[in-house]
Amino acid sequence: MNVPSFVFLGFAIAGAVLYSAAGRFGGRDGIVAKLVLLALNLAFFATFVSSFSTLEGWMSLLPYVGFLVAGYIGVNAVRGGSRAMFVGFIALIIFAFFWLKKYTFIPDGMTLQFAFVAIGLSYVFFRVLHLIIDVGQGAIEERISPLSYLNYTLNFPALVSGPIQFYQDYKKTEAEPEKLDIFALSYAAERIIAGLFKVLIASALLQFWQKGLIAQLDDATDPMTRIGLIALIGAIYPFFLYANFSGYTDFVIGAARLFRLKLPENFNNPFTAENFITFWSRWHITLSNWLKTYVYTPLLMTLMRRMPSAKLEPWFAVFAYFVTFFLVGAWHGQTAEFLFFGVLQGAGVAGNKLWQVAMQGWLTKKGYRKLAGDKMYEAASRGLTFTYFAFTLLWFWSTWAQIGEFANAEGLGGFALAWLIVFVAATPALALYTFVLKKARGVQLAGDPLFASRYVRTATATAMIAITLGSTVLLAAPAPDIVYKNF
Amino acid sequence: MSDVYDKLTSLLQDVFDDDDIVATPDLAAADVDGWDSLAHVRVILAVEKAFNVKFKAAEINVMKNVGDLANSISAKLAGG
Repeated sequence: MNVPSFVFLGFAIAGAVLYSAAGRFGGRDGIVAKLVLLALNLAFFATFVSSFSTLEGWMSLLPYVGFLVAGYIGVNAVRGGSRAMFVGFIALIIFAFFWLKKYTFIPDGMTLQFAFVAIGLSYVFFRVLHLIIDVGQGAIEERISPLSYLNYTLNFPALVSGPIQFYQDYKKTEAEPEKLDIFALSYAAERIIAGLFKVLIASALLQFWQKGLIAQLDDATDPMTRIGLIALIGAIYPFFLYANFSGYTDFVIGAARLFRLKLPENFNNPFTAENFITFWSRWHITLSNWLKTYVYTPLLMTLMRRMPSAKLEPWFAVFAYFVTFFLVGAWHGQTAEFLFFGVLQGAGVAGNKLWQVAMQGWLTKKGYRKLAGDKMYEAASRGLTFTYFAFTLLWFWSTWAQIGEFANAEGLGGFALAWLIVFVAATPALALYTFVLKKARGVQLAGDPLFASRYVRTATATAMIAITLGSTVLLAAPAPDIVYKNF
Repeated sequence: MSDVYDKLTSLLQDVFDDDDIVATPDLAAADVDGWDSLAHVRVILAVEKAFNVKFKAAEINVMKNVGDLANSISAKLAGG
């Protein structure tokens, strides 16, 4: 079942009605509703199995089931267990993930040679590993029942591409469900509509546009036209990816709200970020938070404990940033392109920290603060952040061969000029966008920001659903796939 | 609890080299100049040393303000 889609929406609405009805039966700790939720989670998962009438279909489930079982055994074994047990299960789950995802460093002969279900495995991996670490460290004290474990790890609105919710937050939203009144339903509808519009219309158009430009590039002969096309092709992709992934996230946050569950946000105006470190706190927030929690902070703390030195601390932070964001990037895929994408993310964030350290040393903290607050500097820094991210995304959506073609199209000088054009155009455009956004938030109606008022929200949602429905029905074009579904 | 806040005030003033900082429950990283992720780890390590407590990975990044930090310290001191 595709997410987002009208079929999924129908499934979620019917499921929410069932779930709500089951809630009235109560039972101990709302067991009936939890069982209904489990049935829905499993039913959704089952839509990714090719066939239940063949042995191959059932076999395709085995690796996923094995991964979940190993995770659950780990969660229970590490409670009060030895350090070796704790480290052993973490290593096992990480290895099982690499093995099932067929990372390139796993020899071909070692991987499974039959088709199996792997939908959302990357996100389930983070949930399982988080449970093992937190239970092992005593941060989760309660016993986790198989029912809670499965409902958390396979939570169907967030199965395909996240967001990655921590267990404590999941239990909290389950124990203290959000209200489901007319306002909550409106909010859910708005997020669902925004998600459908972003994925089915905005991301589809941007993808269509980018593909058209790539085709034009093959036919173009004028050097400046080719350089301009390369710039545009590179600059469009971040907007496509944002519309695609944030649209998916809007949709599933709205769908989960029908179950009175609150999923965490994954985006917060990332293109207004003034530097690359801030950018990664606004883009795929739940992934970077996960890795900050379990990689960056423990690694930095270990280094600072082992080698206490005020002078070395900023360098430790640079190193910890590199490792963390290398993993953020490398997690995205199994090929050499994604590995290099990871190197570029790590280098970007570490380079950003290095720049801050160097500038503070040169200008003093106060001087650097003054510089960072300068509007021109801020705009240029924002433009550079966008340009660098768009550049690194070449290794995300393209291949070495295609990147080689772009770079060779007009030589390395032409390729560099293309990215200079992106920077020069993005700097004022994003400054203007940030300015307008700030001003728009300042326009008040009856004490509330105008564009957060229900009149504007209703008008926007109505326009978006009208465009989405109209275009979907008239064009009958296939919906673009969710890029993050493949990770 | 006021002892915890007094101790935190002096600790934060020391870490951020700013005598004007006063630890209050609502004080958040965004309110203090230079409280980034590195400074956050510096604060945590200083707290661990000053109060003789230990934090788990999961606890560190979810603290939203000094109130959360103080509550966590108090719970640990009480053996919770």
